[in-house]
Amino acid sequence: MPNLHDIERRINSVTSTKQITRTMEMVAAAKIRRASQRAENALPWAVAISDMLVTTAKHAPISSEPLLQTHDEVKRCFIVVVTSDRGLAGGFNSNVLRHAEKLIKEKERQGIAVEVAACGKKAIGYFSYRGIDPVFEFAGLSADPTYEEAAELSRYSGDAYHREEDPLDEVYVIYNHAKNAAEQTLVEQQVLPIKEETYADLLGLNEEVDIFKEFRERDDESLPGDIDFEPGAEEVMRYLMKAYLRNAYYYALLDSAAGEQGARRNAMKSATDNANEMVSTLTRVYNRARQGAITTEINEIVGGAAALEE
Amino acid sequence: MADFMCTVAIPTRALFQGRVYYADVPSVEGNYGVLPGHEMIVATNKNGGVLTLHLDEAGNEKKRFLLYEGASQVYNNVLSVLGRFGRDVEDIDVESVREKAENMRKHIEELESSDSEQDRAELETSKERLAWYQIQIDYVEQHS
Repeated sequence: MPNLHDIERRINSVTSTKQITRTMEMVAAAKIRRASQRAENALPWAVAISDMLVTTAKHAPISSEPLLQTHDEVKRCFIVVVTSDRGLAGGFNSNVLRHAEKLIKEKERQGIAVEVAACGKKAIGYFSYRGIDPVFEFAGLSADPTYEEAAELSRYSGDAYHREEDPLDEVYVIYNHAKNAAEQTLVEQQVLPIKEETYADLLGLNEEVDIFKEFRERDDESLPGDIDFEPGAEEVMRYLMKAYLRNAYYYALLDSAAGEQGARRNAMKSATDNANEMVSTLTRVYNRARQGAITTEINEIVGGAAALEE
Repeated sequence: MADFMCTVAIPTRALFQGRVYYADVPSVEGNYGVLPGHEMIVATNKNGGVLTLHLDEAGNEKKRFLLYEGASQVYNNVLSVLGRFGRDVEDIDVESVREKAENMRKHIEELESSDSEQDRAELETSKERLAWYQIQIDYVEQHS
Protein backbone atom coordinates (compact mmCIF):
# COMPACT_ATOMS: atom_id res chain seq x y z
CA MET A 1 0.00 0.00 0.00
CA PRO A 2 1.40 3.47 -0.88
CA ASN A 3 2.42 5.59 2.08
CA LEU A 4 0.87 8.96 3.00
CA HIS A 5 3.61 10.93 1.29
CA ASP A 6 3.08 9.08 -2.02
CA ILE A 7 -0.68 9.67 -1.93
CA GLU A 8 -0.19 13.34 -1.11
CA ARG A 9 2.22 13.71 -4.01
CA ARG A 10 -0.30 12.08 -6.36
CA ILE A 11 -3.10 14.36 -5.16
CA ASN A 12 -0.91 17.39 -5.83
CA SER A 13 -0.02 16.09 -9.28
CA VAL A 14 -3.65 15.42 -10.25
CA THR A 15 -4.70 18.83 -8.86
CA SER A 16 -2.16 20.66 -10.99
CA THR A 17 -3.23 18.64 -14.07
CA LYS A 18 -6.79 19.61 -13.27
CA GLN A 19 -5.83 23.28 -13.18
CA ILE A 20 -4.33 22.96 -16.66
CA THR A 21 -7.33 21.12 -18.14
CA ARG A 22 -9.72 23.61 -16.52
CA THR A 23 -7.77 26.53 -18.01
CA MET A 24 -7.74 24.86 -21.43
CA GLU A 25 -11.48 24.31 -21.14
CA MET A 26 -12.04 28.02 -20.46
CA VAL A 27 -9.70 29.08 -23.27
CA ALA A 28 -11.53 26.76 -25.70
CA ALA A 29 -14.90 28.18 -24.57
CA ALA A 30 -13.65 31.72 -25.29
CA LYS A 31 -12.32 30.62 -28.67
CA ILE A 32 -15.70 29.09 -29.60
CA ARG A 33 -17.22 32.54 -29.28
CA ARG A 34 -14.49 34.01 -31.49
CA ALA A 35 -14.91 31.26 -34.08
CA SER A 36 -18.70 31.67 -34.11
CA GLN A 37 -18.26 35.42 -34.50
CA ARG A 38 -15.97 34.88 -37.46
CA ALA A 39 -18.56 32.62 -39.12
CA GLU A 40 -21.26 35.19 -38.40
CA ASN A 41 -19.15 37.97 -39.93
CA ALA A 42 -18.76 35.93 -43.11
CA LEU A 43 -22.51 35.46 -43.46
CA PRO A 44 -23.53 38.75 -45.24
CA TRP A 45 -21.15 38.00 -48.10
CA ALA A 46 -22.17 34.33 -48.28
CA VAL A 47 -25.88 35.15 -48.25
CA ALA A 48 -25.51 37.88 -50.89
CA ILE A 49 -23.42 35.74 -53.22
CA SER A 50 -25.95 32.91 -53.02
CA ASP A 51 -28.74 35.42 -53.69
CA MET A 52 -26.91 36.58 -56.81
CA LEU A 53 -26.28 33.03 -57.92
CA VAL A 54 -29.95 32.11 -57.55
CA THR A 55 -31.01 35.29 -59.42
CA THR A 56 -28.61 34.59 -62.26
CA ALA A 57 -29.50 30.90 -62.47
CA LYS A 58 -33.22 31.70 -62.54
CA HIS A 59 -33.18 34.52 -65.06
CA ALA A 60 -30.41 33.30 -67.34
CA PRO A 61 -29.98 29.54 -66.97
CA ILE A 62 -26.56 28.71 -68.33
CA SER A 63 -25.77 25.05 -68.66
CA SER A 64 -22.41 25.63 -70.32
CA GLU A 65 -20.66 26.84 -67.14
CA PRO A 66 -17.69 24.44 -66.74
CA LEU A 67 -18.03 24.07 -62.97
CA LEU A 68 -21.61 22.78 -63.41
CA GLN A 69 -20.63 20.06 -65.87
CA THR A 70 -20.42 16.48 -64.64
CA HIS A 71 -17.60 14.59 -66.34
CA ASP A 72 -18.60 11.36 -68.09
CA GLU A 73 -15.82 9.37 -66.54
CA VAL A 74 -14.18 9.84 -63.14
CA LYS A 75 -10.43 9.31 -63.36
CA ARG A 76 -9.05 11.84 -60.92
CA CYS A 77 -10.32 13.02 -57.57
CA PHE A 78 -9.20 15.74 -55.15
CA ILE A 79 -9.92 15.33 -51.45
CA VAL A 80 -9.50 18.24 -49.02
CA VAL A 81 -9.10 17.00 -45.45
CA VAL A 82 -9.63 19.59 -42.72
CA THR A 83 -8.25 18.80 -39.24
CA SER A 84 -6.72 20.83 -36.41
CA ASP A 85 -3.12 21.77 -35.72
CA ARG A 86 -3.20 20.63 -32.12
CA GLY A 87 -4.55 17.57 -30.36
CA LEU A 88 -6.29 17.26 -26.99
CA ALA A 89 -9.64 17.46 -28.74
CA GLY A 90 -10.99 13.94 -28.28
CA GLY A 91 -11.91 12.15 -31.48
CA PHE A 92 -12.09 15.37 -33.53
CA ASN A 93 -9.17 14.56 -35.84
CA SER A 94 -9.29 10.77 -35.83
CA ASN A 95 -12.89 10.78 -37.10
CA VAL A 96 -11.99 12.95 -40.09
CA LEU A 97 -8.76 11.10 -40.85
CA ARG A 98 -10.33 7.64 -40.62
CA HIS A 99 -13.12 8.72 -42.96
CA ALA A 100 -10.64 10.31 -45.38
CA GLU A 101 -8.53 7.16 -45.51
CA LYS A 102 -11.64 5.07 -46.17
CA LEU A 103 -12.68 7.37 -49.02
CA ILE A 104 -9.17 7.38 -50.52
CA LYS A 105 -9.05 3.55 -50.46
CA GLU A 106 -12.53 3.32 -51.96
CA LYS A 107 -11.62 5.67 -54.82
CA GLU A 108 -8.36 3.87 -55.46
CA ARG A 109 -10.20 0.53 -55.59
CA GLN A 110 -12.38 2.06 -58.34
CA GLY A 111 -9.19 2.92 -60.24
CA ILE A 112 -9.45 6.65 -59.54
CA ALA A 113 -6.23 8.60 -58.92
CA VAL A 114 -6.52 10.58 -55.68
CA GLU A 115 -4.88 13.90 -54.78
CA VAL A 116 -5.06 15.12 -51.20
CA ALA A 117 -4.95 18.55 -49.56
CA ALA A 118 -4.05 18.42 -45.86
CA CYS A 119 -5.34 21.33 -43.78
CA GLY A 120 -3.99 21.16 -40.23
CA LYS A 121 -0.81 19.65 -38.78
CA LYS A 122 -2.66 16.51 -37.70
CA ALA A 123 -3.62 15.71 -41.30
CA ILE A 124 -0.11 16.50 -42.57
CA GLY A 125 1.42 14.14 -39.99
CA TYR A 126 -1.13 11.41 -40.67
CA PHE A 127 -0.61 11.42 -44.45
CA SER A 128 3.17 11.73 -44.35
CA TYR A 129 3.32 8.73 -41.96
CA ARG A 130 1.34 6.72 -44.54
CA GLY A 131 3.53 7.80 -47.44
CA ILE A 132 0.88 10.04 -49.02
CA ASP A 133 2.27 13.31 -50.34
CA PRO A 134 -0.43 16.03 -50.17
CA VAL A 135 -0.61 18.52 -53.07
CA PHE A 136 -1.48 21.24 -50.54
CA GLU A 137 -0.38 21.53 -46.92
CA PHE A 138 -1.68 24.23 -44.57
CA ALA A 139 -0.23 24.33 -41.07
CA GLY A 140 -0.81 26.78 -38.23
CA LEU A 141 -4.13 28.08 -39.56
CA SER A 142 -6.69 25.64 -38.19
CA ALA A 143 -7.82 27.92 -35.34
CA ASP A 144 -7.72 31.07 -37.48
CA PRO A 145 -8.44 30.07 -41.07
CA THR A 146 -7.86 32.69 -43.74
CA TYR A 147 -9.79 33.39 -46.90
CA GLU A 148 -6.49 33.10 -48.82
CA GLU A 149 -6.29 29.43 -47.83
CA ALA A 150 -9.73 28.89 -49.39
CA ALA A 151 -8.81 30.99 -52.43
CA GLU A 152 -5.73 28.84 -53.12
CA LEU A 153 -7.67 25.57 -52.85
CA SER A 154 -10.41 27.02 -55.03
CA ARG A 155 -8.01 28.29 -57.68
CA TYR A 156 -6.28 24.93 -57.97
CA SER A 157 -9.42 22.79 -58.00
CA GLY A 158 -11.40 25.19 -60.24
CA ASP A 159 -8.62 25.40 -62.84
CA ALA A 160 -7.88 21.67 -62.69
CA TYR A 161 -11.57 20.79 -63.04
CA HIS A 162 -11.93 22.30 -66.50
CA ARG A 163 -8.43 21.88 -67.91
CA GLU A 164 -8.19 19.84 -71.12
CA GLU A 165 -5.45 17.47 -70.07
CA ASP A 166 -5.92 15.13 -67.12
CA PRO A 167 -8.62 17.16 -65.36
CA LEU A 168 -9.99 16.64 -61.87
CA ASP A 169 -13.39 14.96 -62.09
CA GLU A 170 -14.58 15.16 -58.51
CA VAL A 171 -13.66 17.30 -55.50
CA TYR A 172 -14.57 16.48 -51.91
CA VAL A 173 -14.01 18.25 -48.65
CA ILE A 174 -14.10 16.34 -45.36
CA TYR A 175 -14.45 18.29 -42.12
CA ASN A 176 -16.22 18.45 -38.78
CA HIS A 177 -19.35 20.59 -38.79
CA ALA A 178 -19.95 22.44 -35.49
CA LYS A 179 -23.58 21.46 -34.98
CA ASN A 180 -23.57 23.40 -31.73
CA ALA A 181 -21.00 24.34 -29.11
CA ALA A 182 -20.94 20.79 -27.72
CA GLU A 183 -21.52 18.61 -30.77
CA GLN A 184 -19.66 18.07 -34.02
CA THR A 185 -20.76 16.00 -36.97
CA LEU A 186 -18.58 14.63 -39.73
CA VAL A 187 -19.30 16.07 -43.18
CA GLU A 188 -18.21 14.69 -46.54
CA GLN A 189 -19.22 17.32 -49.05
CA GLN A 190 -18.90 17.01 -52.80
CA VAL A 191 -17.74 20.46 -53.90
CA LEU A 192 -17.33 19.71 -57.62
CA PRO A 193 -19.29 19.09 -59.73
CA ILE A 194 -21.64 21.53 -57.96
CA LYS A 195 -24.84 19.87 -56.82
CA GLU A 196 -28.13 21.77 -56.67
CA GLU A 197 -28.76 21.14 -53.00
CA THR A 198 -25.21 21.99 -51.98
CA TYR A 199 -25.90 25.63 -51.13
CA ALA A 200 -28.35 24.77 -48.39
CA ASP A 201 -25.79 22.41 -46.86
CA LEU A 202 -23.02 24.92 -47.36
CA LEU A 203 -24.71 27.60 -45.33
CA GLY A 204 -25.76 25.10 -42.68
CA LEU A 205 -29.41 25.69 -43.50
CA ASN A 206 -32.18 23.42 -42.43
CA GLU A 207 -35.94 23.52 -42.74
CA GLU A 208 -36.46 25.80 -39.73
CA VAL A 209 -34.04 28.48 -40.92
CA ASP A 210 -34.45 29.07 -44.64
CA ILE A 211 -32.79 32.27 -45.80
CA PHE A 212 -34.00 31.72 -49.36
CA LYS A 213 -37.67 31.81 -48.31
CA GLU A 214 -37.92 35.58 -48.37
CA PHE A 215 -35.95 35.68 -51.56
CA ARG A 216 -38.28 33.20 -53.27
CA GLU A 217 -41.32 35.12 -52.13
CA ARG A 218 -39.86 38.35 -53.45
CA ASP A 219 -38.92 36.61 -56.66
CA ASP A 220 -42.54 35.68 -57.40
CA GLU A 221 -43.29 39.38 -57.91
CA SER A 222 -40.74 39.79 -60.67
CA LEU A 223 -40.89 38.69 -64.27
CA PRO A 224 -38.34 36.16 -65.48
CA GLY A 225 -35.91 37.59 -67.97
CA ASP A 226 -36.58 41.15 -66.82
CA ILE A 227 -33.05 41.69 -65.58
CA ASP A 228 -29.80 43.15 -66.87
CA PHE A 229 -26.42 41.45 -66.66
CA GLU A 230 -23.16 43.35 -66.99
CA PRO A 231 -21.06 42.52 -68.92
CA GLY A 232 -23.20 39.43 -69.73
CA ALA A 233 -24.99 36.58 -67.98
CA GLU A 234 -22.23 34.12 -68.84
CA GLU A 235 -19.43 36.26 -67.39
CA VAL A 236 -21.48 37.03 -64.27
CA MET A 237 -22.22 33.34 -63.78
CA ARG A 238 -18.53 32.45 -64.18
CA TYR A 239 -17.53 34.95 -61.50
CA LEU A 240 -20.28 33.83 -59.13
CA MET A 241 -19.33 30.17 -59.54
CA LYS A 242 -15.73 30.95 -58.66
CA ALA A 243 -16.87 32.91 -55.63
CA TYR A 244 -19.17 30.06 -54.65
CA LEU A 245 -16.31 27.58 -54.79
CA ARG A 246 -14.08 29.78 -52.62
CA ASN A 247 -16.92 30.19 -50.20
CA ALA A 248 -17.47 26.42 -49.98
CA TYR A 249 -13.88 25.95 -48.82
CA TYR A 250 -13.93 28.98 -46.54
CA TYR A 251 -17.11 27.83 -44.85
CA ALA A 252 -15.63 24.34 -44.27
CA LEU A 253 -12.52 25.89 -42.70
CA LEU A 254 -14.54 28.23 -40.47
CA ASP A 255 -16.92 25.49 -39.43
CA SER A 256 -14.08 23.14 -38.59
CA ALA A 257 -12.34 25.86 -36.53
CA ALA A 258 -15.49 26.33 -34.43
CA GLY A 259 -15.88 22.55 -34.10
CA GLU A 260 -12.27 22.15 -33.00
CA GLN A 261 -12.74 24.48 -30.06
CA GLY A 262 -16.00 22.76 -29.13
CA ALA A 263 -14.35 19.36 -29.23
CA ARG A 264 -11.41 20.61 -27.16
CA ARG A 265 -13.71 22.12 -24.57
CA ASN A 266 -15.60 18.82 -24.28
CA ALA A 267 -12.37 16.82 -23.98
CA MET A 268 -10.97 19.19 -21.35
CA LYS A 269 -14.22 19.19 -19.43
CA SER A 270 -14.13 15.38 -19.28
CA ALA A 271 -10.49 15.52 -18.19
CA THR A 272 -11.33 18.06 -15.45
CA ASP A 273 -14.27 15.92 -14.26
CA ASN A 274 -12.06 12.83 -14.17
CA ALA A 275 -9.36 14.71 -12.27
CA ASN A 276 -11.95 15.89 -9.73
CA GLU A 277 -13.14 12.34 -9.25
CA MET A 278 -9.58 11.08 -8.89
CA VAL A 279 -8.71 13.78 -6.34
CA SER A 280 -11.73 12.86 -4.20
CA THR A 281 -10.88 9.12 -4.42
CA LEU A 282 -7.26 9.78 -3.52
CA THR A 283 -8.30 12.08 -0.65
CA ARG A 284 -10.47 9.26 0.71
CA VAL A 285 -7.57 6.80 0.43
CA TYR A 286 -5.26 9.36 2.05
CA ASN A 287 -7.66 9.94 4.97
CA ARG A 288 -8.14 6.21 5.43
CA ALA A 289 -4.38 5.64 5.48
CA ARG A 290 -3.88 8.57 7.84
CA GLN A 291 -6.62 7.28 10.15
CA GLY A 292 -5.03 3.83 10.04
CA ALA A 293 -1.65 5.27 10.99
CA ILE A 294 -3.18 7.22 13.90
CA THR A 295 -5.07 4.13 15.10
CA THR A 296 -1.87 2.08 14.96
CA GLU A 297 -0.03 4.79 16.86
CA ILE A 298 -2.75 4.96 19.61
CA ASN A 299 -2.74 1.18 19.85
CA GLU A 300 1.01 1.22 20.28
CA ILE A 301 0.79 3.92 23.01
CA VAL A 302 -2.03 2.12 24.82
CA GLY A 303 -0.18 -1.20 24.52
CA GLY A 304 3.03 0.42 25.79
CA ALA A 305 1.22 2.01 28.77
CA ALA A 306 -0.46 -1.30 29.65
CA ALA A 307 2.87 -3.07 29.54
CA LEU A 308 4.35 -0.47 31.90
CA GLU A 309 1.42 -0.86 34.34
CA GLU A 310 1.93 -4.59 34.44
CA MET B 1 -37.24 60.87 -51.45
CA ALA B 2 -37.45 57.22 -50.47
CA ASP B 3 -34.48 55.18 -49.41
CA PHE B 4 -33.54 51.53 -49.92
CA MET B 5 -31.58 48.77 -48.21
CA CYS B 6 -27.91 48.34 -49.05
CA THR B 7 -25.26 45.80 -48.03
CA VAL B 8 -21.57 46.15 -48.83
CA ALA B 9 -19.48 43.13 -47.87
CA ILE B 10 -16.18 41.35 -48.38
CA PRO B 11 -15.82 37.61 -47.65
CA THR B 12 -14.73 38.10 -44.06
CA ARG B 13 -17.12 40.85 -42.94
CA ALA B 14 -19.78 43.40 -43.83
CA LEU B 15 -18.41 46.88 -44.55
CA PHE B 16 -21.81 48.56 -44.51
CA GLN B 17 -25.39 47.50 -43.86
CA GLY B 18 -28.14 50.09 -43.77
CA ARG B 19 -30.48 52.33 -45.74
CA VAL B 20 -29.21 54.72 -48.40
CA TYR B 21 -30.82 57.31 -50.70
CA TYR B 22 -28.55 56.93 -53.69
CA ALA B 23 -25.65 54.71 -54.71
CA ASP B 24 -23.08 55.04 -57.45
CA VAL B 25 -21.89 51.50 -58.25
CA PRO B 26 -18.68 50.77 -60.21
CA SER B 27 -19.61 48.07 -62.72
CA VAL B 28 -17.13 46.63 -65.19
CA GLU B 29 -18.94 48.49 -68.00
CA GLY B 30 -19.02 51.82 -66.20
CA ASN B 31 -20.69 53.22 -63.10
CA TYR B 32 -24.44 53.01 -62.65
CA GLY B 33 -26.53 55.04 -60.25
CA VAL B 34 -29.15 53.40 -58.07
CA LEU B 35 -32.27 55.14 -56.78
CA PRO B 36 -35.28 53.43 -55.19
CA GLY B 37 -37.13 51.32 -57.73
CA HIS B 38 -34.07 50.74 -59.91
CA GLU B 39 -34.40 47.96 -62.48
CA MET B 40 -32.99 44.56 -61.57
CA ILE B 41 -29.36 44.10 -62.45
CA VAL B 42 -26.45 41.79 -61.64
CA ALA B 43 -23.02 43.13 -62.61
CA THR B 44 -19.40 42.34 -61.96
CA ASN B 45 -17.38 45.14 -60.38
CA LYS B 46 -14.64 47.20 -61.91
CA ASN B 47 -11.28 46.48 -60.24
CA GLY B 48 -10.37 49.54 -58.24
CA GLY B 49 -13.80 51.10 -58.64
CA VAL B 50 -15.25 53.38 -55.96
CA LEU B 51 -18.72 52.76 -54.60
CA THR B 52 -20.40 55.92 -53.30
CA LEU B 53 -23.39 55.78 -50.96
CA HIS B 54 -25.53 58.78 -50.06
CA LEU B 55 -26.67 58.39 -46.49
CA ASP B 56 -28.95 61.43 -46.49
CA GLU B 57 -31.37 62.85 -48.99
CA ALA B 58 -29.29 65.89 -49.88
CA GLY B 59 -26.14 63.83 -50.43
CA ASN B 60 -24.17 65.69 -47.78
CA GLU B 61 -23.28 62.60 -45.84
CA LYS B 62 -21.51 60.07 -48.04
CA LYS B 63 -19.55 56.88 -47.69
CA ARG B 64 -17.02 55.74 -50.26
CA PHE B 65 -15.63 52.23 -50.60
CA LEU B 66 -12.74 51.17 -52.77
CA LEU B 67 -13.37 47.71 -54.25
CA TYR B 68 -11.38 44.97 -55.92
CA GLU B 69 -13.23 42.35 -57.99
CA GLY B 70 -16.67 41.25 -56.81
CA ALA B 71 -20.19 41.79 -58.06
CA SER B 72 -23.26 43.90 -57.38
CA GLN B 73 -26.96 43.23 -57.54
CA VAL B 74 -30.11 45.32 -57.41
CA TYR B 75 -33.08 43.09 -56.79
CA ASN B 76 -36.48 44.20 -55.57
CA ASN B 77 -35.14 47.44 -54.15
CA VAL B 78 -32.22 45.87 -52.29
CA LEU B 79 -28.66 46.68 -53.35
CA SER B 80 -25.85 44.23 -52.55
CA VAL B 81 -22.28 45.10 -53.43
CA LEU B 82 -19.61 42.49 -52.82
CA GLY B 83 -15.87 42.81 -53.22
CA ARG B 84 -13.03 40.30 -53.09
CA PHE B 85 -11.26 43.08 -51.22
CA GLY B 86 -12.75 46.36 -50.13
CA ARG B 87 -12.20 49.24 -47.75
CA ASP B 88 -13.74 52.52 -46.68
CA VAL B 89 -11.50 55.09 -48.39
CA GLU B 90 -11.24 57.03 -45.12
CA ASP B 91 -9.53 54.01 -43.50
CA ILE B 92 -6.67 53.65 -45.99
CA ASP B 93 -3.34 54.01 -44.20
CA VAL B 94 -1.10 54.46 -47.21
CA GLU B 95 2.21 54.01 -45.38
CA SER B 96 1.12 50.70 -43.93
CA VAL B 97 -0.20 49.61 -47.35
CA ARG B 98 3.11 50.54 -49.01
CA GLU B 99 5.01 48.45 -46.48
CA LYS B 100 2.69 45.50 -47.03
CA ALA B 101 3.05 45.86 -50.81
CA GLU B 102 6.83 45.82 -50.49
CA ASN B 103 6.75 42.65 -48.39
CA MET B 104 4.32 41.07 -50.83
CA ARG B 105 6.63 41.82 -53.77
CA LYS B 106 9.47 40.01 -52.02
CA HIS B 107 7.18 37.09 -51.23
CA ILE B 108 6.08 36.91 -54.88
CA GLU B 109 9.70 36.81 -56.03
CA GLU B 110 10.30 33.82 -53.76
CA LEU B 111 7.19 32.05 -55.02
CA GLU B 112 8.04 32.59 -58.67
CA SER B 113 11.05 30.31 -58.43
CA SER B 114 8.96 27.42 -57.09
CA ASP B 115 7.07 24.92 -59.20
CA SER B 116 4.85 23.23 -56.61
CA GLU B 117 1.09 23.39 -57.16
CA GLN B 118 0.60 25.03 -53.76
CA ASP B 119 3.15 27.76 -54.45
CA ARG B 120 1.64 28.41 -57.88
CA ALA B 121 -1.81 28.85 -56.31
CA GLU B 122 -0.32 31.07 -53.57
CA LEU B 123 1.49 33.09 -56.23
CA GLU B 124 -1.80 33.91 -57.95
CA THR B 125 -3.56 34.93 -54.71
CA SER B 126 -0.49 36.96 -53.69
CA LYS B 127 -0.56 38.78 -57.04
CA GLU B 128 -4.22 39.63 -56.43
CA ARG B 129 -3.37 40.98 -53.01
CA LEU B 130 -0.49 43.03 -54.42
CA ALA B 131 -2.83 44.45 -57.07
CA TRP B 132 -5.23 45.42 -54.27
CA TYR B 133 -2.44 47.20 -52.36
CA GLN B 134 -1.45 49.02 -55.53
CA ILE B 135 -5.05 50.13 -56.12
CA GLN B 136 -5.17 51.63 -52.63
CA ILE B 137 -1.85 53.42 -53.13
CA ASP B 138 -2.95 54.78 -56.51
CA TYR B 139 -6.24 55.99 -55.05
CA VAL B 140 -4.54 57.90 -52.25
CA GLU B 141 -1.97 59.40 -54.65
CA GLN B 142 -4.69 60.55 -57.03
CA HIS B 143 -6.79 62.10 -54.27
CA SER B 144 -4.09 63.75 -52.17
